[in-house]
Order: sequence, then C-alpha cells, then structure tokens
Amino acid sequence: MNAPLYSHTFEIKGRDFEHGGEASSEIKETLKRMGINSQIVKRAAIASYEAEMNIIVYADRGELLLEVFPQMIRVTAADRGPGIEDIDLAMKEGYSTAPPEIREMGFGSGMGLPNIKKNSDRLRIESYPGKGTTVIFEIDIRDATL
Amino acid sequence: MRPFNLYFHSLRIKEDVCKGCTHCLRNCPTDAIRVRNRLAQIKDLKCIDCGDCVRSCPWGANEVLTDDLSVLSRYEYRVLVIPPAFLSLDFLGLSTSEVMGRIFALGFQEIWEEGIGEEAYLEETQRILNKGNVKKPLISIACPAVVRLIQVKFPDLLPYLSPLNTPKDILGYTLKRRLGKNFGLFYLSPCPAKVTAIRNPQGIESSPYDGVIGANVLYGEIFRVNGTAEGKAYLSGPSGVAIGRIGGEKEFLSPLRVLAIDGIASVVRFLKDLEMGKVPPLDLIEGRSCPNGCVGGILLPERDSFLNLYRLEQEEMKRKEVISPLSREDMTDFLYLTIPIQPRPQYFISEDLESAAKLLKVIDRFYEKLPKIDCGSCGAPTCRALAEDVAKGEASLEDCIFLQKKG
Repeated sequence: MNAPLYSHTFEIKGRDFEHGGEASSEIKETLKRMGINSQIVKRAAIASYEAEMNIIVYADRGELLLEVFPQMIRVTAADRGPGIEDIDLAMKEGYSTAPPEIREMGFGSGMGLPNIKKNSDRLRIESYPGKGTTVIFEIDIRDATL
Repeated sequence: MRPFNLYFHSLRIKEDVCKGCTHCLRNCPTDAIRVRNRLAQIKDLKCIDCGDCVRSCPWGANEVLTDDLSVLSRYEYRVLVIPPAFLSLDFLGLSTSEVMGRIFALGFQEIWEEGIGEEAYLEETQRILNKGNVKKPLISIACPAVVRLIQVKFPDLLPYLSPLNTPKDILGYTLKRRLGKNFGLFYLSPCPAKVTAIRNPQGIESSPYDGVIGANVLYGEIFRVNGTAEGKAYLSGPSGVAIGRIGGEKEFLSPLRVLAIDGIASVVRFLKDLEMGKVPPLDLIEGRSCPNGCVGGILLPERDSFLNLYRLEQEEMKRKEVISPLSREDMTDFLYLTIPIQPRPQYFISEDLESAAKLLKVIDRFYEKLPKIDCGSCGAPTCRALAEDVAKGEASLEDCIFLQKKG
C-alpha cells in the first residue's frame, strides 16, 4: 500500500478519564473537515473512541495513529498494557475484565472491541500478554465527498 | 427586506474602542475572531451572531447594529412585535400598561407579543413530534444562533432541525397579510442573532419585518418620551411568555422528552455528543445561546438574567388567556420554513481529499512548532487556529510571542 495522504499520532495517557475521548474527537473533526462522508466519519469516530477508552482503562500509555488513504481510513491503537489473554473471548459482547471501579464510571461494559468490529470494515488485533495490545482497524471510504 | 450581504452580521467591532485584548477571542464558540494589528476582526463565514463577544468585552467595543426609531417615519401605521423577554425587564416602577402607553407615544399604533406566534409554534411542534415523520431528536429553530451554529460547525445535524418557521416570523407573516401593505412592521430584538435573522433570514425567502429595533434602544426611549398614548396591545398567554426563558418549550411539550440547554458553549458540547450518537432517546432539543434563554439576551439592558428570569416567571403567573384577534387558522399558512437551511461553505479545509490532506500536513507542521498553550496573544484563539491561519497565508508564525522570544 502507498503512503497515506495524511497521518497523525495522538498520545494517550492511561487512567486519564478527564481527557478521555479527546483524541477520537479530534480524529472526528479532522475527518469531517477533510470532507469525508459523515456516515464514514461517524463510524471512524465511534471505533476510535472505543480504542481510546480501552487504552485509558487498561494501559499506562498508548497512542492512536490515524492514517488517511484515498480509499480508506486506518487507525492503529497501540498500547503498553496487560495485553489480552483470549482475543476470541474479548470479542464477545459483554465480556469484560475491567475492575468494578471502572465499571462504576460507566466504562468496561464489554462492548469496546465488538463496537470497533461493528463500525469498521477490517479489524486485526495483536496482543502479547504482559506487553501490550495493538488494535488496527480500517474503514473504507466509498464516497469521499459530500 | 433584502439582505445586502450574503453573510450579513449585526455584530461590529468599534475600531476606536477595541483595545486588541483577547477576551472575546477565547469566548467565541466558532473561533470566528482574530486580533490583528491590535484590533479584533470577525470572520464573516464563521460568526453566528451569538453575541458572546459582546458579553465578554470589558471595553464595550462590540456593538450590535439595529435600527433606531427614525425608521418609523417611513410608515404611516406602525406595528411592533415584542419578545416575551422584554416585559421581564425592570421598568423602574412603571406598570405594563404604562410601558405600553409610552411605546405608543413613541410612534407605534399596535403592539403584538411574539408569544402569540409562539403558542401556534408550540402546538404545531407538539403535533409533529407526536404524529409527524420527523428525525428525532428534533432541534428547535427558535434560537437563530443555534441554527447558525449547526450551519457552521455541525452540518451533519442539519436534517434534525425543526421544519417549523420561527415564532416571530409566523406572527410577522400573519400580520403582514392581515394588515395589508401600507404599514411598517418592526421587531424588537433582545439579541444580535435575531437582528441578523431579520436582515439575513435562513429558511425563508425574506423577512416579513421592515425594521428591527434593539431592546436596549427602545428601553432608553421609554424613559425619555413624554407621556403616554393610546394604541392596541395584544398579549399572549402564559406559554407564549414562558418561551422567553429556558425550559419554556420543554414545559409546554411535557411529557414529550425534551432536553433544554442554555449557553452556547453547553449547546456546542451537547451537539458534539449528539453527533457521536452518545445521547439517550429524545424528542426535542431546546437549545438557547444565552444563559437562561432569551431573558439573558445581550440587548436587554438588565445584565442579570436571573432577575429577568424571576420577573418573567412572575409575568407568566399573571397571564390567564391570550388577548388576540388571531385564530390558529390565521397562522396555519406560515407555520413552516419554505427553503432548506444549508451548511456554510467555510467548514471544509479544501475541495478534495488530497488537497485537504496536503494542507493538514502543513498545519500539523506549523502546529508542532507552537507552544500549545492557547494563550491567544498571537491574535488567534488557539495554537491550532494560528497554525491553520499560517498555512492559509493569513498569519505568520512570528505572531507567536513564544517563538519571538526564542528568536
């Protein structure tokens, strides 16, 4: 694949709930202002939000890499967190390993990865328990202009 | 009235008063202000006439262009439509009928309360929410600053805007038809957004109003005029008055699920969540740019909107029934907007994906050099905004005082 038309990295700090959602909000704004179809932007924004919150909930730090290609948007969410023991299980709706205090805040309901899958065209997860997780998802741009 | 400029605004900077400070800059919800050469400038395509810059200016350097009473002389018979928030003001002991008498003495023959149109508007809103095929949550169009905010910043939400005409225009068109052509119809505006909504209306071909007078102007004249005169005054019932404050639509439409939000910054935050689908199921969003709703309008001389709110609620309790010769049928022809509300073109960075990406890269490169503290000293509201201005050739990196110090 050729180099992206545009790419940008967003640093995410673990447990920083106060700023949670800012990176995905910037991703949304950027894609919107590039003129990408609003339904596609919405899917990218929702999937990015879930990936961002996963980093905040589970990892110490991580980053979102946004890449825009002529035909698709790719987001790579990489963290140095605990990793995922069983990816198939983690993909099940409602399955969560979030501790109770996180759930009390309204996060960790086990919908994160399923929501990313639902809102993207391709999803790949690489995880090394104890080291970290990389979630890569792509969304096709069918109609690049409004 | 023909708009004389596609993006007419009622807000202007008084160049001799503006100190070039940055109070307004950071309060602007659409990043429409830049300070260049020690002077604030408003970007036409971004400004939504909310008036938060007027509210935040310590020098009184922002003014709102409205008509003064000299425009009355062009017409023999003059009709004034007043917003409910006007009667919430402290008239220093004058009774409502004395206030009306003095307005008649200033040259008006009839006074109509906007609330009469509002009651028709509310009933129709209720009807379409219960039966109509509308996209929910419907976003109320009663506050023109909120409508413009959506045009400028949230074009994806345009399909959620209510298809209804604004209360003041429902009443305005009805009066124009009823009274024939030979009279002047004036609106008394509590805010710059409604001034602009008359000079450069959205969703209708042209405004029914022949002029728009600032509430501050009329308030001052009421205390200067000698004596009172006779005229006809038509007043709305309690729900027409209540729409002058936040929650007026919500209470009328109960038990429908209405969320009432006042303050333009809060409206912006909510619309971002709505765009992401992060809100519970709702029927209507009652968004108002001013704190506490129209009682917080910046053309109202009383700046404490809580006192206005209190007095408006007292007024609501006094009202029993509508005093108006108009029936609901008289207004049915004017209940809906006639042309679609379009997004403002400034929103997109460039025409196509490739050139937008190129420009974004340049913006990012400039942004990396900036201190990212959004101090506003360069004249742009944020470092990001400066980077974009530099990329577009509208500013220079040297405008940043931190880069200047580094030399």
